[in-house]
This record gives sequence, structure tokens and C-alpha cells, in this order.
Amino acid sequence: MKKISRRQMLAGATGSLFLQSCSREAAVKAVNPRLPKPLVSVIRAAAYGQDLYDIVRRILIDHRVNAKGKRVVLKPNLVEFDRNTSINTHPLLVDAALEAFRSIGAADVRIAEGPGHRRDTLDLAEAAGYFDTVPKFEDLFTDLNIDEVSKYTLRQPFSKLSDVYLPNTILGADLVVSMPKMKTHHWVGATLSMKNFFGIMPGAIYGWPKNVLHWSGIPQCIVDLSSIPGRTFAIADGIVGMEGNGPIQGTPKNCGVIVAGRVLEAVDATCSRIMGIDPNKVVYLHAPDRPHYNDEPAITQIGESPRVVRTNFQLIKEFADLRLA
Amino acid sequence: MIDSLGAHQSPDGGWPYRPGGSSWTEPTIFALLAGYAQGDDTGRVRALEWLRRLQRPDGGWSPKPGVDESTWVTALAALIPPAGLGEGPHSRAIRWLLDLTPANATLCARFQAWINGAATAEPHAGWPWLPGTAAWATPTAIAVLALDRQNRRRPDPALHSRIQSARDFLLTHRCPDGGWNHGSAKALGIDAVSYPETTGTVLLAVAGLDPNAIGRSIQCAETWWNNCPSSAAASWLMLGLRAVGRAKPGPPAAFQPRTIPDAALQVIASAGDRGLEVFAA
Repeated sequence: MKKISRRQMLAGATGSLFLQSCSREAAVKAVNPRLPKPLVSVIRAAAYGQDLYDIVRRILIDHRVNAKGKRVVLKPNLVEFDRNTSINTHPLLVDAALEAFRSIGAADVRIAEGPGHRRDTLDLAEAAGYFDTVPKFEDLFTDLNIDEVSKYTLRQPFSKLSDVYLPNTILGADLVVSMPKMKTHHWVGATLSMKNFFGIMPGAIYGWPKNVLHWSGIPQCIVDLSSIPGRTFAIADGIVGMEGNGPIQGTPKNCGVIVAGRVLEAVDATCSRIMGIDPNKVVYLHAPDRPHYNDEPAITQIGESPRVVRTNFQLIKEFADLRLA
Repeated sequence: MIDSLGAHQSPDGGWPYRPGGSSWTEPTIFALLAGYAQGDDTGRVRALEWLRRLQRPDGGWSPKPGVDESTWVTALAALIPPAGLGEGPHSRAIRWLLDLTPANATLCARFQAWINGAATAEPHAGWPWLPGTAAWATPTAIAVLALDRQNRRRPDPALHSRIQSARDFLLTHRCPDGGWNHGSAKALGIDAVSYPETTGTVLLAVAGLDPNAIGRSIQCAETWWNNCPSSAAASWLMLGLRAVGRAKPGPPAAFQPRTIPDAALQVIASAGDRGLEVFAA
């Protein structure tokens, strides 16, 4: 008879308890059927070209985004010094969003990011092509790692975080637009519009990496941080994503889509399905006290069906069981 | 571009990260260290007073006024000569550093890792950015430099032992290319690559070790020097390479400092041996 190690035994017990907790919460927190279903756009975009400007403008119109007179912050995913990898959100998509929000009357549109590993943020942005693509980029950009901060108390946190110091640029925004790169992630399966909010934690307080998030529970922190801004929108860069050992060491994956919507959980569930990942198996899309949009009928899709544009992203063996049937 | 450090000192005596911001601990200390490297004491008294006011009852420093936790910036404060910071504040900073164990190197963490059969426990004690988290390359390197300076002033077996453990931490977290990134040499078994800025910082902290132990790190730093992506990276590489006898003539003109700490660091790195003495006297 095969012996069970103490690690396997404890892992089994812990896993069993966690699953019990998840299933209990999921049963309690079903989406209210009387509420309107969230809209999520799935728009084909074969490459990073000038058509992105029209695409993003159309997305904002489709979603009736009201930014007139508002302070809007675009939050791309900016990670490494390389414009030729698929690590960073492409600067052309960010510029298209900047122009689109200006065109609908936003009073102020800023771009802001706090990279998790590298401290020289502006040099990183320059190497990633942001200075060449976004006119007057340095004037528009806030390095969230060294921004002025205020204390913020999380109400009923899902993670071990309670009070956090957050950048005033984020806390003072009327609308924060998460602009992630569609990537696999070696700790949580996929990094999308919710996980992108890790970049709002200021490195000057929490360091590089922001290791307190790992110790406080990564999936739980994803839920907590993505719920902080009052109003959010997401525009995910899935034109070229990253598969395999993401979010840094994976390989580029042509996917040819932009996914957008107001409800981050719905956008991420849609992105997951497009990547061939079952959103029901992505831990942070199962948070208690948050609505779940993991079943396709829970979302009103605009544009392409996720089934039609589905492009299975390669998964590392640790996450092979996330594959969507 | 930041052209003059003195012009950006705040009325309260500290320095901001970016011109016009409020005072933070890190840029204030780097600006102070730049003054020591240049032999320029303009604004020093006010800056030291600001810094002393910010020391917390536990002996550490928070990143800025209003933040209620001591962090890695305490190691930076401990780099300031005791004659400037004050013997009392300096010795309490050293004590805070000695008392801080990374969360994955505590006895409890090691026991948990043993129970789980996980390789997450850390046998060597570096320093975290923030108490309650794991050790990483940069805070460990800065703390090693601070404690090493103190140990040269007043040799102490406790200091010596902790410095040795931290240097072992740095060597075991070296990337396969010989340099250092944030402190993770592998991710899920796949080799990670180094960063130039961290490679320079850590090289400075391990410069006194057997040349055979750090030979490939020196080579890695030289390689990065020829492919430098930022002002901060160039400054740290200049300091690290000078510490191992490979001084560079000056920072590359292509990169301008974008923050106050970067500008201060460039001043320190450009000050030759006086700059090196700020970290490794």
C-alpha cells in the first residue's frame, strides 16, 4: 500500500477545508438574477495598429462610459525593460485609451503604474516604448511606487491586509481603468484586470517585490485591491498575450483580441475563457462577498463570442487542471 | 532631470522623491549621503534633525512621516555616521536591524516548512523590505553595508555573525548569470536573469569576499555596465565595480537621473573613493 506523507496528508486536509469554504460561499453569493447582466466586449484586433484608436472609442460608446469632467487614471501593466516581449501592456493601446477618454470629455487622463520588481519606472517605460508612443508621456505619468500616499482601511478584507497605504493618484481618481496584458501567471493561473491592481501598492512603502501581498494571500489580495477604486473599467490587451510560465518568463501568444467592460470579474472570466482557462477554477474569481460571472450566460457579450476567439494558452503543469473543457 | 539636490530640499529639512513632493526618508538619506560624499554640508543640519524626529520608538524608521511601521529604510539611516545621526539614534537603528528576522527564516517558519515538506524556509537571514515578509536582495545588501561599517567601528560577534549569514543569503540567491535580481534566482525551476541595479548594489555588499566566490558576479556587472538601461543602474554598477577594483571613469551620459535618490546616487557614484566610503568605509 502506498504511504501518504505528512505533507500530502496536511495538503489534503487543507484543500478539503478550502473547497468546503469555497462551495459554501459560492452557494450563498450567487449573482442576483434581477440585476442587469454585465456587458463585456470582445473585439478582434489583429495587430497593434492605428485602428486601435477607433476600437477603444467604440468600446467606450458601447459601454456608455461617462467620463465627462472626470479624473481618469489608466493603469497599464508595466513590468520589464523590453519592447519586444509580451510582458508589458502595449503603449499604443494605452495611447488609444488616453485619446478615447479625452474625446469623451475627461477633465484629466493620467497613466499610472508601480512596477513590482524594477525601481527605475520611467526608464522602464521608455524602454517599453511609452515615450515614443505617448506624446508628453513623462508629464502624464505617475510612478505609483513613489507617489504621495494616504492610509486606506479595507472594509471586510478577504486577505490578511487591513490598513494599507495607497497612492493619492489612485484614491483621488473618479475612474481607474485597468489595462492588463492577458497573461498566464505561475501563482494564480492568469493575471488579468483584477491582478493588475497589485501595481497600485507603493513600492516606497512595501518594497520591490511587494512581498506583503504574498504573505497576505495572493488571490485574496487580488480581490481586495481590485475592489478599492470606486469606479473601474477594464481594457485588456489580448492582441499578443503571454502563455506558459507567465507573467514574466512565458512566451508570446497571438490572441488578437481586446476585452473590455465595467465589471472586472466579468472581464476576467471572459478573458479566462478566451485563454482556454476555466474561470470556475481560478481562485480569485471565487471570492466570498463578490458576485461571480464564471458561467457564460451570466454575461452579455458584445462583439465576438469567447468561444469563437478562444485560443488555448499553454499552461504550466501546476495549472494544467485549469483547462476549460 | 534633477540638476541640483540642494534646490529640492523641502522647508522641513527632508527631500522628496520627485521635485515638489513631500519629504520621504529614502531620498532624504540619499541626499545626505551625497553631501557626505561631496564634502558639502549644505542643508545637513536640518536634514539630520528631520531624520532624528522621524525615528520611531522601536529604533527604526518609517518610509515617511505618517506611516506607522519601521521598514528597510532603517538600514539606510544606519549608513549615516553616528557623529551626524547621533550615537543613540544610530545604535538603536543597529539594534532594530539585528532584531529583525525575515518571516521565512524564523524558527516557526522553518518548522512549518518542515511539516509541509516545502523548500520555502530560509537557512540564511537576510533582511526584508518590511517586517513580517521574506528577505530580498536590496534591503539585505544595504543592511550588510550598514552593519559592516558598524562592525569596523566597534567589532561585535553578533554583528559579524549576522553579516556572514546575510552574505550567504545573497550568494545563494544569485542568478545563474552571476548577478542579482530582486532576490529570486529561479521561478518554478526556471532560471531568472539578473538586473543591473541590484547586481551593482549586492556586489558592493559582497565585495570583500574571496574573489573566487564573486568572480562571475564581477563579470556579470561588467556585462551590465556595457548594456546599462538607467541612471540608477549605472550608479550602483559604478559603486559595486569600484569596490572590487574596477573603477569606471564616470556615469554614461545617455541616462539622466529621474528622481532625487537617483540624482543623489549619481553624485555619490561620481565622487570616486569618497563616494565608495559612504557605503563601505
